[in-house]
Amino acid sequence: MDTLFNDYILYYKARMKRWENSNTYPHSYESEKAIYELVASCSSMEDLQNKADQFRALTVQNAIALVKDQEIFRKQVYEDCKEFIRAKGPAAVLEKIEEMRSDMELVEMVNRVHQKNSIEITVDQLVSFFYSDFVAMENIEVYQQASIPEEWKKESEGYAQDAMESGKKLWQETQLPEARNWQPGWTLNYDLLQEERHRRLIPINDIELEKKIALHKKYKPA
Amino acid sequence: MPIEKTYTDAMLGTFRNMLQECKDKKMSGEAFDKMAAAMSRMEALALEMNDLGAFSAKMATEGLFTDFSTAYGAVLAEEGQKKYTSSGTYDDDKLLQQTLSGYENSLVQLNNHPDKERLQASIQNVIDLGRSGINYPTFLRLLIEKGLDKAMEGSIISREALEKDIHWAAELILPVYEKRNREILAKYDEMAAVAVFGVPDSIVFSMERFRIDSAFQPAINKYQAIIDRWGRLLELVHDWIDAHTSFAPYDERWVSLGGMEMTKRNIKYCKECYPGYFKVREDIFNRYFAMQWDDVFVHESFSNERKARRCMYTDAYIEFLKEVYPHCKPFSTAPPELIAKAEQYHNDKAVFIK
Repeated sequence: MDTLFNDYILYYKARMKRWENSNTYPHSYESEKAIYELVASCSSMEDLQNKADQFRALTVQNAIALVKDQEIFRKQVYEDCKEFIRAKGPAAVLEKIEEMRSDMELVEMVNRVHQKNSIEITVDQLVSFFYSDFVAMENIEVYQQASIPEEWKKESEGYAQDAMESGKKLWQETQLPEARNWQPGWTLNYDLLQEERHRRLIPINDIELEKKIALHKKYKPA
Repeated sequence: MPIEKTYTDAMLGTFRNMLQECKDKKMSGEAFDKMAAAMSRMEALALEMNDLGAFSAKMATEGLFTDFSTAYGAVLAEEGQKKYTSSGTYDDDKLLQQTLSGYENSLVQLNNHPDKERLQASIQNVIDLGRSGINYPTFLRLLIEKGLDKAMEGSIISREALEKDIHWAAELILPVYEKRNREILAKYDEMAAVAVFGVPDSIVFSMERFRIDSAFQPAINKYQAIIDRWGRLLELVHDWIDAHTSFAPYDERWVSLGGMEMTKRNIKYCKECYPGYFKVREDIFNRYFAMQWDDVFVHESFSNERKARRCMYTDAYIEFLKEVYPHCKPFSTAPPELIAKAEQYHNDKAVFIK
C-alpha cells in the first residue's frame, strides 16, 4: 500500500476517532465509521475509486448525520433553557432531514429553516421593547405620584403627559412600523412576558410587572 | 429618495464581488441564475426603498441573503465537481494548493474584521501547516487533531480569549460577569479534558456557552437595575441639598439661559419637588427589590461601583448623604447646618473622588 493512500486511511480514522464515545455525535460516529471501514477495506486509491458510488452515498449520509447530531443537541439546549422559539429551528431541520437526498439539498433546507427561524427569533425579541421602557415609565410614575406643593403639580403632570405623548409618538411613528417590517400587523403581545425566556429577564415581582403592563398599554398604545 | 449609496454598498458589496467573481470565471447554470436573480432583487430593493431598516428587514424576510448564499455554495460545488471530473483523477497536491489558497484569500478578507488578529493567527497556523511539506490527507488529519479545522469558519475557540473575558470583567469590577465568564472557561476546560484531541467541539461549546449566558442574564439584569436605581436616589439627595446652597445660582444644574429669575425658579423646583420625587423612587426601589435606603450601602453593587469609580462620591460625602437623607421628605427644607456642610464639601472639592 502506498504512503499516500495509507495517509488517507489515517485521515478517515482521525475523523472517526473524533466522535468515538461522544454522546453528542452518535450518528456522526456511525457514519464516519462506515466511511473509514470502506476506505480501510481498499488497498489503493484505484480500488477506492472503484467504490466511488458507495463512497459518495456515505458522504451524503455523513453530512446528514452531522447536521442531525448538531441539531438534536441544539434543540435539547434550547429546550432546557426554555427558549422554545429558538428550538423551533432545530426541530424543523430534524423533521425534514430524513427526506434529504443530496448535500446541496441538505444545505438549502438547513439554510431556509435557519433563515425562517432567525425571523421568528427577531419577532419574538421585539417584546424586549417593554423592559427597555422601564426607565421612562418610572419617570412617568414619579411625575404623576409625587407629593409636591400644589403650585408645581400642573408642571409635574405636564412632564408626565409629555413623556406619555413622546412615548406614543415614538411607538406609533417609528417602533411599530419598524417591527412590522419583520411581521406585518405586529402588536406587543403582553402574554409573552409571562413566558420564562422573557419573564426571567425582567427582575421584578409579578405584582409590579402587572402594574407596569397596565402603564405600558397607555404609554405605548397600539 | 433611495437609501444612501454608502449604506447599500456596505451591505451589498460582498455579494456583488461574489457574483462578479463567478462572472469573471464564466460560471453559468441554474444555481448561477438563482444567484444573479437574488442579487438583482437586492439591487432593485436598494433603489426602490427609502428606509435602511425596512430594507434590511425586507432582505431578511424575503430570504435574499439565504437564496444568494445557498446558490453561491451550489455554484462553487458544481465548479469543483467539473474540475475533478475533467481531470479524471484526484491530484492531491493540487487539492492541497487549492485549499491553502482558499485560506490565504480568507486572510485578506479578514483585514477589516474587528477580531482580525486572533482569526488571522489561527488561519496562518493552518497555512503554515499546509506549507510544511506534508501531503493533503496528513494536512486534513492534523487539522482535526489540532482542532484547526474550524479556523475557516472563524469559530475556532481560543482559551486565551475566554481568559481575557474574565480579565476584563475583573478589571471593570463586574462580579456577575466575572462569575459567568469563569463558568464559561471552566466549561471549556472540562470539555477540552475529555475531547479526543484536546479541543472542545465548537458547536457543543457554543451551545453550552448559550446555556451559561442564559442562566446568568437574569442576575446581570437585576444587578444593573439595582445600580441604576440607587444611583438615581443618591443623585436626587445630592441635588436636593445643593439646591439650598449659596453656590446653587451659579451651578450648571440650575443655571438657565433665560436669566436669573428662571435660574431661581429651577432651584425652587428642585428644593420643593425632589423630596417627593425621591420618595416615589425610593418606593419603586423597595417594591422592585425589597431594598431600603440603608440597604444600598451594604449591597455588593455599592462597594463594587465605588471601587470601579463608576460611583464617584467620596467616602465622606456618602456619609454626608446619609445624614441628609432623613430630611429629604416632601414639604421639608434642609437644616442650615447641613447646607453649610454641603457648601464646605463643594468649596473643598470633596464631593467627588479626584
